[in-house]
Amino acid sequence: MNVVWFGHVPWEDFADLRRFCNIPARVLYWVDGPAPRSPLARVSHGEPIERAGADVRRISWRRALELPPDETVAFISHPLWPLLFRGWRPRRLVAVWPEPSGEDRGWWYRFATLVSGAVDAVWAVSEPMYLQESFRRVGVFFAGGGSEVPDREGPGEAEELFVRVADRLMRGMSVEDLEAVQWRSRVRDYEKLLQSSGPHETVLFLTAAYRYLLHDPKAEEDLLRSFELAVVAGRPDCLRTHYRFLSAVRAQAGDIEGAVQVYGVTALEEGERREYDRLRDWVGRGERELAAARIYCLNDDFRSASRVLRGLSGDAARRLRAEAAVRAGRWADALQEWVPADGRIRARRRDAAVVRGTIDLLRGNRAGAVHHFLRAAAEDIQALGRLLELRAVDKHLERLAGKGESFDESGSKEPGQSVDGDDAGAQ
Amino acid sequence: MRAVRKSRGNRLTAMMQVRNEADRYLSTVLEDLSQFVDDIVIVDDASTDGTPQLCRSFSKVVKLVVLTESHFGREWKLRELLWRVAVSTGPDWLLALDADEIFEDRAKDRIRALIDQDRYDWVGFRIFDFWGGFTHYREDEHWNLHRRFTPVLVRYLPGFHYVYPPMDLHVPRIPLTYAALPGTCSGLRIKHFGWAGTAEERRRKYERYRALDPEGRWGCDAQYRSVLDPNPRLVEWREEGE
Amino acid sequence: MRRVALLTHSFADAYNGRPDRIFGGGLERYLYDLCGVLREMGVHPEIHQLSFSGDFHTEVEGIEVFGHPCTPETAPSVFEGMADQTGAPVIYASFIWHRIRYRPGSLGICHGISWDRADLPAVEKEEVIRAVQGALDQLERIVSVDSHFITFCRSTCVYEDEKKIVVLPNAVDTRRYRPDPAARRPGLVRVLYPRRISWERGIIPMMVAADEILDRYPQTVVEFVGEAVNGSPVAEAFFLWMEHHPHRQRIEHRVLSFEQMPEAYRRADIAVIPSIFSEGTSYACLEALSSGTAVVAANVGGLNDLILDGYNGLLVAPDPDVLAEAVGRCIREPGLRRELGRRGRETALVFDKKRWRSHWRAILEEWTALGAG
Repeated sequence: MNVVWFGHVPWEDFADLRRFCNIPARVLYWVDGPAPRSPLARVSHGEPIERAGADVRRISWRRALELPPDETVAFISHPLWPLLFRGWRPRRLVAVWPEPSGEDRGWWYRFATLVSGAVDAVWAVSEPMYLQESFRRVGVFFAGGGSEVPDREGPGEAEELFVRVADRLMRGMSVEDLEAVQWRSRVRDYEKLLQSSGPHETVLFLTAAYRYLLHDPKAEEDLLRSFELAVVAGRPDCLRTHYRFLSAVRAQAGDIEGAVQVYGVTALEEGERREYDRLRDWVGRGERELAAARIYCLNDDFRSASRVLRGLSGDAARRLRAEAAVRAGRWADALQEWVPADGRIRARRRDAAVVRGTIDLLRGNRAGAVHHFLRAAAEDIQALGRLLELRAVDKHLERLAGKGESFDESGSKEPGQSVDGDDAGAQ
Repeated sequence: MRAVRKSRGNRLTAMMQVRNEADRYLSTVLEDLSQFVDDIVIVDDASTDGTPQLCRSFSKVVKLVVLTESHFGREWKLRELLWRVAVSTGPDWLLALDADEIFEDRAKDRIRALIDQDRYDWVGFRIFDFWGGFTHYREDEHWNLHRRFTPVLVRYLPGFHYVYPPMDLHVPRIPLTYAALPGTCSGLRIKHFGWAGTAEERRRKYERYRALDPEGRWGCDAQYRSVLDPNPRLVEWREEGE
Repeated sequence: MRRVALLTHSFADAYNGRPDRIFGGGLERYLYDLCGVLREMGVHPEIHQLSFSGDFHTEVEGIEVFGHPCTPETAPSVFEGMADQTGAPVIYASFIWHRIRYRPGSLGICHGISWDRADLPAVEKEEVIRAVQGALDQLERIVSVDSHFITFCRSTCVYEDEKKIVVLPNAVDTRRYRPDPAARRPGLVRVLYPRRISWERGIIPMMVAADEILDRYPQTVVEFVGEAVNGSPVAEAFFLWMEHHPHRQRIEHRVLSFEQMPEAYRRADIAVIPSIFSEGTSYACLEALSSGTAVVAANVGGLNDLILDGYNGLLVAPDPDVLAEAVGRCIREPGLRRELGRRGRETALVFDKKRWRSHWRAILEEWTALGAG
C-alpha cells in the first residue's frame, strides 16, 4: 500500500503535524504545500527529510496522482487538494486539518468543512473544529492538545491512535469505536481543569459536549451549570447557545417530549416558532423519530440525525435526510434524496443547484461549479455568494498548484518543474 | 402536546412569603390581589401573630405552608421553597409580590393583557418606596428602585432550569435564570409600603437588617445607614390620570 | 421663454460624481428626447434631479440641470421638495412608486413597473399601491410607457377619469437602426445580450443559458454589450464566469457608445432580452426589432407589448432553460430567424420616434392649454 501526504506547507515547515508521520509504510510520499507567505511563519528551516524506519520521498502532486489509486492511502492537510485530484480517488482519504493562521482562517474553515464530509476520516488540531466534525459525522479524531513541538521522547496518545486509525483504514476496517478513547480523554482533562480552577462556563460546556458524544447522562448536569454561569455572566443569547443543547441531551435520553419542550422555550423568532409547532405536531402524530432527528439537526448533531433517519420512510424523513447530508457535507448522499417533485419548489431547486455546484467544485470541475452556482443564484440571488467564493479558491489553488495554474485546465498541461521528481532525504 | 407559551386563558397565581404581617398591610394586599389573580400561594415564615389565620380567611389562598422555624437569615432557602410550593399548583404565570406591596389601581384591568401573549416570559415593573406615609415616595441616590424595572411577573415554563442564587438576604424574588428568557417592561407601578410606617418602625427594621448583615455583605452599607436620614428627599405620589 | 421643470431621480451622472455627462440608462435617454420635444415647442426645459454627491447646477448637452443633494433616507422628501424650488409647471418624470405630495395640475410619467418581482414582500407591494393611488389622485395625467401600468392601476386603484393614463410606448429611430444582412457572418451565429450586466436585466439566467448554448452549438458566439458596475456582486460573478469559461474564446464582452450600438445589432443574428423584472417597452428590444435581429424576450413587463410570440420574436419565461431552448431554436432554424427579423422590422416602424414625438407634443399642448404652461 502506498502512503502519500499532500501537505499544507513544504516539508521543511511541517513541524506541527510531523509527529503523525509514523504510519506503518515503507515509503511516505510527500507533496509540498504552498510556502508560508511570511518567512517568520516558518517553523524550521532545512531539516533533512527523515523519519524513523522509512523513507520520505518528495514528489510533485502530478506525480502523486500517478500512484495507483486502489493501492494508495492519501492524507491531505490542505482543503483544496481534492480539487486537483479530478478522477483520482485513493482507496482511503484522510483529512488532517492543522490550525489555520490569521487572515485565511475563515476561508480555511469553510473549505475544510466542505471537504470533511467527503473523506474517510478527519483529524483536527483545532478543538472547535474537532467538536464540530464529531457532531457531523463518524470517524473524527483530535490531533491537538499536545505540545506544538514534536514530542521527541516518544509517541503520545494521539500519535499512537493515529497509527491505529491509519492501520485500520488501510485494512478496510471501521474506526468508529476508536473515537470514544479521545472523548473520554477530553472529559478527564476537563474534569481535572474544573477541579483545579473551579467552575468555568466554557469548560463545563465542552465537558457536556463530550459526555453527550459518550451518551453519558451527566452531560445534563454539566450543561445546566454552564448555562447558569452564562446567565450570570450576562451572555446574550445563552438560551440558544447553551440551553438549547439540553434538547439534544433529552432526545438522546429518549425523552422526546422533554426535548421538544426545551426547544420550545428557546424558540423565540418566527422561524423557530414554526419549527416548534412542527415538532409538536410530529410528536402528536406519533412521529417521534422525525422529531428526534429534527432536534438533533437543530443542535448541529447531524451524526445522530442521520443515524435516526436511516431507514425512515416518508417525504418529511427524506427531506430531513437530505438536509442532514448537506449539513454534514455528504453532498452525493444529499443528491440521492432529490425527487422530481422538489423541482416545483424554488428553495429546493436552489438547494439542489448548490449541492450540484459543490460536488463539481470538489471534483475540480470549475465550470460545472460556476454553472450550478449561477443556477442557484437564478433561483435566489443570495446564493451568488457561493459563486463569488470561487475568487478565493482560484487564488489559493494557484498557490497550491503552482503559478498560472487553473484547476479546470490543469489536466492538459505539462507537469510543473519546481519540485517534480525531487526525491530527497532518504535515510 | 401543549405549547410552552399560551396566548390566552393563562392562570395567574400570586406567591408571597410572609412573617408577622397581621397588623401591617397583609389584609389590604390580599384583598387587592383577590380582585385580579386566580390563586394565591403563601409560605408563612414562622409567624407568631396569627398571620396564617388571616391568610386562610381569603378564599383565593389555595395553598399555605406554615413553617415552624424561621428562615429569615436564609432567604435563599425560603425563596426556593416558595417557588416549589407555587409551581406545584400548576400555574401559567406567577406574580411574586411582598406582603407590603400593592399595584396601582389601573393595573387590575391591564394585567391580563400582559400575560395573555406568547412573546415574552417576564414583566418588569417600577417599585416605589413610600416613606413615612402613603402620599410620598423616597427618591435619592440610595432609594431609586422606581427608576429600574424589577421583574416580578413571570411565566412558569414547566421543566425550565430554575435557580436561585445562594444568598442569605435580598435574594431576587424570581429565579436568576429568567434573565436568559425574553421579557418586557410595563409602565404599571407598584407601591411598596415597607418604609411607610413611623420613624420608630423604620429604626426597628434597620436594626434587624444590621443584625443579620453586619458587614453589608448582602446589601449596601450606605443604603442601610440612609434609612435613618432625618430629612430624606420625598416626592409626592400621583395616581395615573390625576 | 416658457419653462417646464422635469423632476427625476436620475439624469446627469450623479451616481459617479460626473454631472457633466448624461447617465447611460433608458430613463435618461427618454428625458433627453422629451427635452427635445419641449424645445421644438419653444419651451425651455429644466431638469431637477436627486444627487448623492452634493448639489450642482449645470448644463449638459444644452439642458439645464439642478442636482438636489439627498441620502437614500431623505430621497422621497427631497424629491417632493424639488417642485417647490421651481416656478415652472412640473412633470414628475420618475419615482411614481414612492408616496409623495404632488403639485396639483402636474403631469407624471411611468417608465414601467419596477415592483413586479414575485418575491417582493406583500407589504411593500401594498405600499406601492398606495403610492400609485396618490399619484392618480393628485396628477392631471400620467403617461405610461407600457400597457401594464394602466392594467395595474385599473386593477388595484380607484379613479374617475379613463383618460387619466395615456399609454405611449417607447420609440426607436428606425433610420439609425436598420437591417443589414450583409453585416452578418455566414456560418457563425452571433447571440447578443444588449443590456447592462445587472440582475434585473436577467444577466444570471442569460449566463446559465449561454453555458447551454455554447456547449450545444459550436458555431455560436455570445456577445455581451453593456456596462458592468465594477465591484457589484453581479458584475463580479459575470467576470468569474467568463474568465475561465471552457468556451471563453466564443464569449465577448464590450461596452459600446450610443453611436456604435446600431452596428452591434446589425451584426447579431439573435438578440436576447431576458429581464426578470422592472421592464418597460425596452429600448434594447425596439432597437433589435428595428435592426431586423431575431428577438428572444422574457415575458416581463412592457416586452409583452412589443413581442407577439412566434410572430415577431419569441416570448418566453425568464427561466434559463426556457431561454436556452428558445435561443437554440433560433440557432437551428435560420428561416425562423429571418422571418422573425423581417416582422420585427415591420413592428419597429409602428414604434418610430417621429410618432412618439408628435404624440408627446399633443399631450403637452393639451396640458399647457389647460393652463399649466
